[in-house]
Amino acid sequence: MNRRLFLKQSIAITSVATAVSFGLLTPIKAFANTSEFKELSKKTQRQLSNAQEGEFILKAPEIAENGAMVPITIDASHMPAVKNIAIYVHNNKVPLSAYFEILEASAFITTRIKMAETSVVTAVVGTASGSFIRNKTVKVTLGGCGG
Amino acid sequence: MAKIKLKAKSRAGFITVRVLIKHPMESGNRKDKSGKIVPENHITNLILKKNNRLAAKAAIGGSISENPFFQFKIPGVKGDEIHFESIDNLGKTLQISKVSK
Repeated sequence: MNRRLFLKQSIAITSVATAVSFGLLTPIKAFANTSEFKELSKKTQRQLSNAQEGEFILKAPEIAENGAMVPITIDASHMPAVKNIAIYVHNNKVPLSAYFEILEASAFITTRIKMAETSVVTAVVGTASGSFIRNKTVKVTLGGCGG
Repeated sequence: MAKIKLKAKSRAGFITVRVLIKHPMESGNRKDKSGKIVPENHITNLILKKNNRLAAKAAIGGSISENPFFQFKIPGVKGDEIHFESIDNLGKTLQISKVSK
């Protein structure tokens, strides 16, 4: 009887311990992306899958010495009715870098992004008449995302 | 301490807004020297307003560089009020308002 009780208790304790360890692990992963950002990431992937090559400017360096700071400029200001602009880095752990919603501004964005390794950078411009993309390969000599 | 800097300059009907935010932008993927994961601390949302009307919004991830820099263009003239706000994943808000030059 005693032995059974001991077994039961030990099982209970270990299951609690595993639950705690999972519980401790999950917050880091769960917070890696907010639900809003995940939704946007999915949206961008959908946009990517049925987009055509667009006529706008994507400025990115061919070789980035430091992956922690890669300047990106997207200029689609001559395109009509631009709704959103997304920067998508294919080889990053979190591929979506930024998602801009253009309401009363021109479709012109400059920012600096981090890149883990050499990758194709895609700018996605969503307009009223569909999505347009432009690709550029950026070579990275030193990664900036850690890992 | 100025944690956020904004410059707004109007030219030919457009205001160029340049923003520099002082922020570590930890993505939550990086490990420190002892091998522990550096907790995530990055900006998640940006809001840009002109004369109290929303001009642009952004959702950004941890893959924007440290001390992020942004440049926007808004149709406008000298004297327009530009307001910029950023929110990070810890709920901290930074904001700045400036009259365009």
